[in-house]
Order: sequence, then structure tokens, then C-alpha cells
Amino acid sequence: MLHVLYKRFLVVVPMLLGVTLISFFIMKAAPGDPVSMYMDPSVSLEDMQQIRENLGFDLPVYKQYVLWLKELCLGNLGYSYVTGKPVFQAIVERLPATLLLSISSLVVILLITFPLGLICGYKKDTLVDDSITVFSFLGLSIPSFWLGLMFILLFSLTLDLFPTSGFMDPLLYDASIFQKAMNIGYHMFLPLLTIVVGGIAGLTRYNRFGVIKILAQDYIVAARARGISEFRLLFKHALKNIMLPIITILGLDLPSLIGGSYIIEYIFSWPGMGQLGVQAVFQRDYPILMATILFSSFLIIIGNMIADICYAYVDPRISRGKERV
Amino acid sequence: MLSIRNLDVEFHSDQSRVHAVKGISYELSEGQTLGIVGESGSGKSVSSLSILKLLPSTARVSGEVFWKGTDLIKETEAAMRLVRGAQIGYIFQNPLSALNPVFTVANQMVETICLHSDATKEEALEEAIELLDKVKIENPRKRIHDYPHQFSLGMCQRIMIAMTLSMKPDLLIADEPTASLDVTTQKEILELMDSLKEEYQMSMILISHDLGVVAERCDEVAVMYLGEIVEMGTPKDIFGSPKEAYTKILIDAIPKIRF
Amino acid sequence: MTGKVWFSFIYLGGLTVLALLVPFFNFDPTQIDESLIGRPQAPSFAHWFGTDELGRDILLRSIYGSRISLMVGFVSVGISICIGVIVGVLSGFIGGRVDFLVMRVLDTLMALPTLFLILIIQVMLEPSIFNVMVVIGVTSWMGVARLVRAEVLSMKERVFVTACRARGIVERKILFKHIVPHTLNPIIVAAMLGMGGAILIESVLSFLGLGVQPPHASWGNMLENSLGYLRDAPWMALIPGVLITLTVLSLNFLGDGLWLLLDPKARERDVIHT
Repeated sequence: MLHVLYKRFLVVVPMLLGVTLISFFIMKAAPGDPVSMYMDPSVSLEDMQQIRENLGFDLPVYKQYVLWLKELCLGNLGYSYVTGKPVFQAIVERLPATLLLSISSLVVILLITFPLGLICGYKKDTLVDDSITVFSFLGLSIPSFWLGLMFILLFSLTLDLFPTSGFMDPLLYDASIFQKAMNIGYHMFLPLLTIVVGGIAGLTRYNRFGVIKILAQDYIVAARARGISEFRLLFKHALKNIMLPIITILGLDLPSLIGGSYIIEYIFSWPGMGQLGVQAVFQRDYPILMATILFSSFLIIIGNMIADICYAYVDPRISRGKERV
Repeated sequence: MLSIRNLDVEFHSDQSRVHAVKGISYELSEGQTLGIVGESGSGKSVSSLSILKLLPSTARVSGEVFWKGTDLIKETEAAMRLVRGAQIGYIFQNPLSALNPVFTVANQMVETICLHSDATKEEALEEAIELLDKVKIENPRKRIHDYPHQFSLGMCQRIMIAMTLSMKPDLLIADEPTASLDVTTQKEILELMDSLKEEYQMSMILISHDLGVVAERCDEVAVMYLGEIVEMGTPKDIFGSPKEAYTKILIDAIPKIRF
Repeated sequence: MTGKVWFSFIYLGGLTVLALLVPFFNFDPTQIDESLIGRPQAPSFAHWFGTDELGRDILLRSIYGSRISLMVGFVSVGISICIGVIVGVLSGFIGGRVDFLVMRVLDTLMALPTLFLILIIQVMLEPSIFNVMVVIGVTSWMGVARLVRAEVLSMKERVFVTACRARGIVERKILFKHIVPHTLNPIIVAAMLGMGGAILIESVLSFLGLGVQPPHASWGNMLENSLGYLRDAPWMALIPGVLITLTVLSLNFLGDGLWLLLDPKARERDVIHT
């Protein structure tokens, strides 16, 4: 297990550096002068020049990067052009809502996609399989932001079942934790549903192909030859094997899942990093934009690392080494 | 005990039809060993898998497979589950791919034992360890918690044999059990199977392309070619005075070592 | 399977024909009906898809929107495939340290949330249809590069390549005559799926006001306009969304159908044990 972690670590560190490099250049390439953004117009040009030098803007670019990286490690990502608040603080405030939404949608997606994929693969080319396949193609093709709008139109505006937006009713600020949790869940339902519909589609397709391949394996036929029931065959013997490719795919899908959920956060005014980021797009708030992309990439890289560890955990051929006796 | 009449298997797909087994018939009585020989693709495995109805859904099977008086072809899936393993055991050609790679040997053996008896998990584990000892796996109490990929091919085949025997079948179908093993391991596995067959008093269908293996231990031999049984008889008849041209070719193909 | 492919052919064919022919008629998708401003009309005989908040005909705007979507699909996928193929072929063929380095860079680029990256780049540039196509193209070639590289690597190991070498054929010729053509099939499939993806991204960009600018029509900015009228004029939001979905769905169906057609291994669904 340790060698897996160590190997992953060697890959992850350059990736993290690469991501910081890209974020840094986004910041550098952004139009507008960061210094004059904060300063009063009455500050004289000479003073501006002095401030610029103090901040290291006259240094060569690579030195600026090192300086910037050092500040990043200390948790200093600059200040928002719009609110003047520290960017790091703004992001950290938004992180819990984003994590709550993305982790719950991931869990729901997994809970749905495995049974669906197993059924499709097992009953391949039947009516059940064909209809699930068409639905998963549909899920892949629907623009998720539009789906969110349609859900609002149907569930909020027409049926009045769920709130259109927000995180928690402000009236509940001194209610019990249970009440708060229920209320957050109530607000989360529509954004969650939107992300899940888009997310299960692709995974279920992969899942189906994987299951078809696995069900043709010798060990499945051999288990059947021992009289093991079809249910156990699917939900024990095939399931643990199909988890392997799905973990890999999930790791690869993470960027589009997280990126896609940002638009959903915006549509439903979910107070996460995504909403912050999309608003920053409209306000041309570059420090926030840079930090959002940096933090999302961190999340994606960490997610990938977790996926790799899970893979090694599920696959004994990796965690138990290759030795044969 | 087992009587097969006009067994016919065809594979259908969108583009093609493959007639894999063309109406074969044979009988097997209690305690006997039947050898089926033939080159690969001759329908040996397909015909044996169809006894247990283990072929993919594209296969169309017709004919009769009488096992202890009932026709298995007409049996339901639920009834087949009671026959599979418990009455008829099956050993596959490639032992490593026949074991699920992501579960320990203990897990798979205990599952199998519990399925066919009332044993608790602890009892089943003890029984599994005993069986592994019987098929000569060293240090079974520790090794049983290893995964299939941690064993050599020969060891995996021993494990498969132990697992199949744990259900005490009346008939053992061994589908080229030694084809993927090296020569010395082949001999050990075959000897192990001989002794266990005695001990458990099983009937056996031994599928092989190796005439030597079959000649030594079978009461009767069926020669298959392109989905048909071209010749059947005692090993003495078949090897002493082969009637069919194909059988002669097979016998001539055995490498002869002269000293 | 064939039903889905036929549906896609007919739908995409019809859409393409409409998109190509519509400029030859004397219709103006930006024409405002002053009497209907602020009062979108529901679909009727005069306006099959209804009118929008400025009294413009939604059917006509939808057809003009399809021109944008199809063009974005073609051009940005063209760009991403060009970059992807060049990087993939070179990386796979050269191998060794170059390949290792390229793959690490790809890993890093793939760890960025693509959609958000595109948003940021669009913010910095002038929002225009040209920029949309280029930015989508330049940010979505990584998948193609990986695919092509994997194909080239497996081709390099094949015996026929070794046989070419044994006959003394120059490396460059082996690459272009014997290896690159083999990567064509997965590229065609990836192109179909990529076009769907590009159309989706364009709709998001235009929806957020970072893509096609008014008064020009695109499905994305039609959706943006519909926001204020979600309750009163739901057809304004429904129609462009359904069109995007159907277009992307057809492309996905085609990609999947072609994949089964071009890759015989995928059709080999049952493994017969003998």
C-alpha cells in the first residue's frame, strides 16, 4: 500500500506545481493593472511606481512566481478587486457548500450507476437495457444548466415543491442542527438531481460495457458452475470487479463533474465556489477567478489521488504485490 | 447415471451461425471415467458446458441430457443451481482465470461450502483448510487468506480441485485440467486427481487433447472431430485398432520417444 | 441500433440543410416587432415556435442559432483534432523522455476544470464567435492526444511495423503511411463526441453572455433571454434547450454507431469458450 502512495506522490507534486504555474500566468495575463485596481485615483504616479516595486512587480517573471508561490503557501492569494476581502478567506468560506454538493452528488451517482450498469450488462440487448441506454444518452446530451432551469420551471414555479435557490432559510439561524440539515437537504435536492442526471449517464454506459466483459470471464462461469445464484454472481463477484474500471473513469471524469457543477451552483444560487467563480466572471474579478481555478484543480488532483488509493485498495493485485509462490 | 442423446449446440449471432456440437450421444455409468479427446474447436468443452447449461445466451441447445433420471435441458435455472457443483463439479482449463481475482481463496471457498451445506462460516473455513491440506497446499492455514494471483498456476488448479471437491459431487467434469500447466506439474495434478477420484468415489469426464493422459485412466474414450463423436470405445480398442482415419491421425501425432 | 443512427442522420441532415439554405431567403432573425415587445407570443400558426421578448420569430432565430452551433462544432473540433493528432503522434512515436514529459503536461492540463478555464479565457478576450471556437478547440485536444498516442504505441508494437523496418523503410514513411492511417477510426468517433461537447460548451458561454453577442442568435443566448420569462413564456426556454439536446444526442448516437461499425472488436459481444 505504501509504495502506491509514494508513487502517486511523485506524480502529484509536479502536477500541483504545474497547476500553480498556470494560475499564475492567468493572473499575469489578466488585463488591467492590479496595483491601480486597489489605489485611489489621487495617488501620484511616483507613489504607484514605488508600491509596484515594493510588491515585486519589477522583478523578472520567474522570481515573481517564486514570490507568489511563497505567499500562496502562507495562504495569501491577494485581495478581491470587488469586495477587497482576502481571496483565500472568500474561497475557504465557500468550500463547505461546494464539497457538500459535489460529494453528495458523487455518492448518489455511484449508488445509482452500479445497479443500473449491472442490470444493463446482465440483460443486454433487451428492452430494459435499450431504454436505460437511450436515457443515458439523453443524460449525456442535455445541457445541464438548461436541465436545471427546466427543473426550476417544473418543480418550483409550477408545482411549488422545492425552492428555486439558496442554501438554507435565513429564518432558521437559531434552529436545531437537525432542522438545519433537513432544510439544507431540501434546498440541495434540485441542484443535486441536476448534477446526478448528467453524471450517471456516462458512467452507466462504461459500467454496462464493463459488466458485459466481466460476465464473459471464466471466473463468472466457474462460479456459476459451483451453483452460485445469479444475484450473488452479479452483486458480489461482478460488482467488485466492475468497480475497478469505474474508479478510473470517475477519476478522469472529475474535472467535467466539478466544472459542470459550477454552472449548476450558479443557476441555483448555491453558495459554493462555483457561484463565486461565475459571479467573478461577470465582475472581471481576476484574483477570485485565479483562486477558483487553483482550488478546483487541487480538488480534482486530490480526488484523483483518492481514486488511485481506492483502486489499489479494491485490487489486491496492486495492494498485495505481484509475488507468486 | 448420465445419458446424453442427440445433444446439439448452435451459436447464433447477427452475422453468423456456428454449429459447434452436432447431435452427439454417450452414456456414463457410476464410478466410470469417460475420456473425450479431440483438437481444439472440436466441441469437447461446449458439449460438456451444455450439460450444466453454462453456455452464453447465444447458444441454442437441443437434445436430452438425462442425469439421475431427469432431463437437465428441460430443468429451470433454480433447479440447475442445485445440480451445479453439488452433483456435477466442473474444473476449468485455466485455473487462474477461473478464480475471481479480487476475493481471497478463503472467501471463495467458504462461500461455496456454505452454499451447499448448513456449515457456519467458521466450520466452513476449517473444512476449506483441511481440503487445501489434502490437495497439498503448504501452510494452508495462512495461505488460504491469500489472493489467487499470489499462487502459481499449479497451486491454483489444486485450489480449484479442492473447491470443487468441497461440494462432494457425484460427477466431476475436468476440462483440460492440465493444459495450461508445465509438464511436471501436469503429472502431479493428474496423480492427485486419480487418488481423489478413488477417495470420493466419483465418476469423471476427462476432456483432453492428450491421448496419453486419457489412455492411462479412462474406461471409455470418445474421439470428437468437428462437433461429432467419430469413434468411441475402450482405450484398448481405440489405440489398438483405430477404425476412423481421424483417430489414426491423432494417434500418429503422439510424439514417440525412442531410446 | 440502426434506428438511432437513422434518426441522427435525418435530424442532423435536415438541420444542416436548413442552416445552409436559410441565408438565401429574405428573412431577418433580428427583426423586432415593436407591437410585441415585452409580450412574447406562444407558438401559433403565424409563429410556429412563438416569439421572444422583442417580438422576434423564435423558429427563425433557432435556425440561425443552428448555424452557430454547427459551425462551433466543426471548427473547434477541427482545431482540437489537429493539435491532438500532432501531439499524440509525435509523443507516441518519439517515446522515451519526450513522451513521459508530454504525458505529465497532459495530466496537468486535464486536472483543470475545462469549462471554467474556458470561461476565464473568454473573459480576458473579446467575446466573439471566432474566439469561442478557437478557445474551445485549444482547450479540448488533450483527450484526442491521449487516444492517438495510445493507438500509435500499440501500432508500434505490431509485427507489420517491424516488418517495414526490416525492409528498410524510412521511419517518417512508416509513421505517415502505416501508423497514422490506423488511428483514423478512433479519431472519427472522438470527433463526433467532441462536436457534441463543443456545442454544449458554446451554449454555456453564450448563456453567460460570453459567447455570441446580441442581436445575433445562438441557442445559448436565446436561453439567456428566456430567463426573465421562465414563468410567463416557457417556450422561450424550452425550444432552444430541446434543440441543443437533440443535436448533441444525434452526434452521440452517430459516434456510438460509428464506433460499433468501425471497431469490429466492440461487436464481438460474446466470448465463446471452446
